[in-house]
Amino acid sequence: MKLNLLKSSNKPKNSESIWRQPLAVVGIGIIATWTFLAVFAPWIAPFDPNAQDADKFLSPSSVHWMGTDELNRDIWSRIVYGARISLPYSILLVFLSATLGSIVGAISGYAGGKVDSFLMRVTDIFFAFPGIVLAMAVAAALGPQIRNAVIAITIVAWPVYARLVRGLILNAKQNDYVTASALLGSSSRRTMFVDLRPNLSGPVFVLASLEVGNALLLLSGLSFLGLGAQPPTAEWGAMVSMGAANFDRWWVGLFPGLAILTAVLAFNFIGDALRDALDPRTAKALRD
Amino acid sequence: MKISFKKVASIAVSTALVTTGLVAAPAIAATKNLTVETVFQLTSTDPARSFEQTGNMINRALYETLLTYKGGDASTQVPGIASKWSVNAGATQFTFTIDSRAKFADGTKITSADVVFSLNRLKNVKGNPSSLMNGITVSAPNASTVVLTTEKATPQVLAIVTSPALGILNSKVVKANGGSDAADANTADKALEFLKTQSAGSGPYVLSSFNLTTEVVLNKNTKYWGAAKAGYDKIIVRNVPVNVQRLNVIKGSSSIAVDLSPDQATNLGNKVNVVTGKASNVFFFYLSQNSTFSPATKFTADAKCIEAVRYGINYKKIVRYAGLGAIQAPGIIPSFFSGALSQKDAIVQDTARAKTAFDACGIKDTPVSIGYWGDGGAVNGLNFGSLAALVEEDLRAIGFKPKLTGAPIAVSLPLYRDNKEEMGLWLWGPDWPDSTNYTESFSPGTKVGLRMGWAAGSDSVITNLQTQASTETNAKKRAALFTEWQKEMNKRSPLIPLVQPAAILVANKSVRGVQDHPIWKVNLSEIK
Repeated sequence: MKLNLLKSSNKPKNSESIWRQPLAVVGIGIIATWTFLAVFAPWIAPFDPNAQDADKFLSPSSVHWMGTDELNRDIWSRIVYGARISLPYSILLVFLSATLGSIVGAISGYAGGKVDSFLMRVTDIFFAFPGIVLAMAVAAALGPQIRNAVIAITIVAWPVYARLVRGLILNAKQNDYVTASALLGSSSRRTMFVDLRPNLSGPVFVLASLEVGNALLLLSGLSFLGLGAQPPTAEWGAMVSMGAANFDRWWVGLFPGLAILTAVLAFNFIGDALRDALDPRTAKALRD
Repeated sequence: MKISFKKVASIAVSTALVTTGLVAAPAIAATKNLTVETVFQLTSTDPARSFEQTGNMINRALYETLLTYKGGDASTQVPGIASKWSVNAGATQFTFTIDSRAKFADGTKITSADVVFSLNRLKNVKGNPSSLMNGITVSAPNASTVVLTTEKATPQVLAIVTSPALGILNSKVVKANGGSDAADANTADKALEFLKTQSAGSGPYVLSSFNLTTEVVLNKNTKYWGAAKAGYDKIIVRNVPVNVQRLNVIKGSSSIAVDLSPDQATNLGNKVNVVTGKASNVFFFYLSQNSTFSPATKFTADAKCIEAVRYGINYKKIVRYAGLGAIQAPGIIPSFFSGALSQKDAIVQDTARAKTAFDACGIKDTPVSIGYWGDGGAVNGLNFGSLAALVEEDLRAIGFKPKLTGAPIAVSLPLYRDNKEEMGLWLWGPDWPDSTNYTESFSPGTKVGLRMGWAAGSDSVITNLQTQASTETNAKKRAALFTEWQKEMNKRSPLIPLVQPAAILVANKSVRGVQDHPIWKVNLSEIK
């Protein structure tokens, strides 16, 4: 009971409800809209996203709201179906990298000594490479497809979580309740999962929510470079790539670009709001 | 107002400097530069190892061959380093007389020893273009005569010697920098790196700098011996994506855009010309099926499966995607060459026949992978990914479960060349401008044949036609053999020709002499 009281005293105070923040509401609204479109794509999209036709590059009209691409595929339909790739895969790869990074960081911070040094040097090696370059190299080596792009970005993105979690563990280890728990005979696993974990959840969740936007950008970037989703899959980054090759047909790249923009912006709004709500100390430090 | 002496002196000195500068300025001739933009298909500027389009374009300006072609023509050879040549009745002995005026960029006279060295080096370094020398022996009876001998009639030798891969190098310079033409040249020759830093040829340009990923710069050969001197002091060949090529040529920051598609070559403004050469349709895209890839399904070795693919494809749709000037490839030999099939011989989509054949081939739900140049790879503006998507839709419609597996060229091309792709979507441009290039490359047991797992002896009818066509010296009979060979190929080969795109060059109006060529795309030496 005493331990619980001590733990509860570590919870952030003065947290601001996410629903009171206008930008967060806008972000949630946008993501909810994209989620709705993704889930109900077969009923919402007016055309098969991969259906090809004789004509090509039809400009926006009442039939094709956002025009068609070089294979005369309806861009609006492809954007709707593209949400089924871009959103879930971005969230999945953030989950994977947060999990991997948290495990590495927790082991590093808890074990200390040589294990800590070794794991942090490995982390440093990953930090030493520019993220997109390393992701490109991994994706190219594994073979271009969306699954491998997720693996590539996970490999690039985990170190930031490892650093965060290690720092949190090192800090939390100093608390009396952790020492008391150890003196009472708690195993390492119990100490880690029962005593330390509650200190990690908030910051990791905040970081993860801020990283979803970056993940979506990286994923779209790899597809833009031909290292992510393969034809004929509708994916926003690949669609922008086709637009870049035909930029005098402005609609081909503009609309998928706007899709990426709105989704990334929305995830960042939500991430900022979550940080304010769950990690007010960091939020206050940033405001000050 | 008091004017100090210092002020007067400084004004006087400044005026003098400016005046001197203005007077002196005309004495410094402005450098005349040409900027050509293309998506690099380049490995090196060593003629013995370079076999790609950009390499051919650059090497055509750096190195000269025994014979060559003018403008966009690829049928009538004209003198290069050789001023005269003759062929014996059996088309087995080709004698070339070296022009007595010919000399390298360093002023050294070209001799038959240089030709023998260059051609033997090409043969023995065992690079990608070494196959051009298969069955050819080179000798030099005297300093100004070279004889090429073949075991069997090979009338295409005159076309082969025009390839930039057979460019003549200064043997003394190359040997001094690690070059070798010995039988073990594949390991003994160390001149590759040297030839990336400077050229050792006799062309109207010399290599100034080489960067495999950004640009290659050529300078004027001030000692050029021929009549057609270099038109520019410097030529910069840049590696630029197609969309940026378009933008730059419109803005005038480049002179020639090499890779635009017909769609991209519209609405370009009034500062540029669109050049559609005689050589349009000389490349062709094809779908290849590897008959040894999948031992479990044997899909690509199954005649019914191949028939299903052949008749399942909507060729008209692909031609429409390829744009103005493109045609369906009715056979493997493009319409530019002797014995090409006409459009009435082209395969017509027959969905019912394709579905019946698919049911008979019995692979049902087995996924079929199709490899291609995947990271935005495009030739003539045609994107491999988009072409693959077109094929995918057609094959899916008749029951196949195609899976597109595009990859960067550095990954996908070796997979294809090493016979590790189940199906492949690729492009072929001629190594030498003659129909034999196709019969000798696509028949069973030949270069592309082996990439499809189509071993020698797999089809005696096609092989016999290939052999007869390569040794026939009568032009009409040759053409008939080429036609017959293609018709047989269209019946059962694992290769399906898809489309011959239009070849388009876009050039600034100030640039003269731009013509599309099937081998070197743009003859930089002819541009003024």
